[in-house]
Amino acid sequence: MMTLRNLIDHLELVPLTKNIDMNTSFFNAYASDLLSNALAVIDPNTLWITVQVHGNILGVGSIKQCPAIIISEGSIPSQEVIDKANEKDIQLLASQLPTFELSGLLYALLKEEQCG
Amino acid sequence: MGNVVIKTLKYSIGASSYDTVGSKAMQVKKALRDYFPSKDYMRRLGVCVFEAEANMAIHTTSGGELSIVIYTNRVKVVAVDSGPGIRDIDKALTPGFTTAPEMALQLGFGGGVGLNNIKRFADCFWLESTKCGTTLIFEVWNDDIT
Repeated sequence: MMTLRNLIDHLELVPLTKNIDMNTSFFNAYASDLLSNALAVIDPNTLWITVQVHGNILGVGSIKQCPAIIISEGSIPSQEVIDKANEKDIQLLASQLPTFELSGLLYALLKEEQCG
Repeated sequence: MGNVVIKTLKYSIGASSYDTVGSKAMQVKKALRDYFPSKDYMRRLGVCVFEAEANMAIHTTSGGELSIVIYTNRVKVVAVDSGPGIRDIDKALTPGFTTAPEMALQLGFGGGVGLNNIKRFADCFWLESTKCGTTLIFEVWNDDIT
């Protein structure tokens, strides 16, 4: 299991929401900008990487109890969306990296963690 | 015992109301917390309600109504709209097939897997459509309660 603390340190992610629980653990991630695909795949152990920044991502994250949503490619949600995420205890992180690169780095970290 | 209705919730969904898609699913999750404590159950139901909301927002011309009937052991969802209807249901159920407008696609809706998500996560699925409208009924059962 990897924690958000490891991830933020290694990938220089920027927390967007308050009170990020650094001990939040996960062992998988899923990258997609299609909401239905995310709804089908993500779960409480799977982070979601997307460039979507509208409020509907919070619905997906809340329903699937996603441990955190990483907004890639330098996209930043509006303050309204960030406030709603705080209200609903959904953890949002941001990365300047393109989704492909971020996914590759995260995959390597997870493999290293799992295989030692 | 399983056929006892505990509560019925009703929601109106507006056509093109993309910004509120998911809000009804979250309200249902909150309303049902005391009756269905299983998180796995609420995730399955949540996906189905989210997709039903999205379909109405994306594809209807005048929105529709979503009725959530809560029984002791399951939830039945009835989604009714007044058109324009699904021209070819078999095609609509083909993963990847979509007739969603460009605006919906840009927001990440309309990937052509919404109805399939409902079929996958629900225990019963029934869909009927004419040019006068569409009726979608599905049930999500809580196997922990018989």
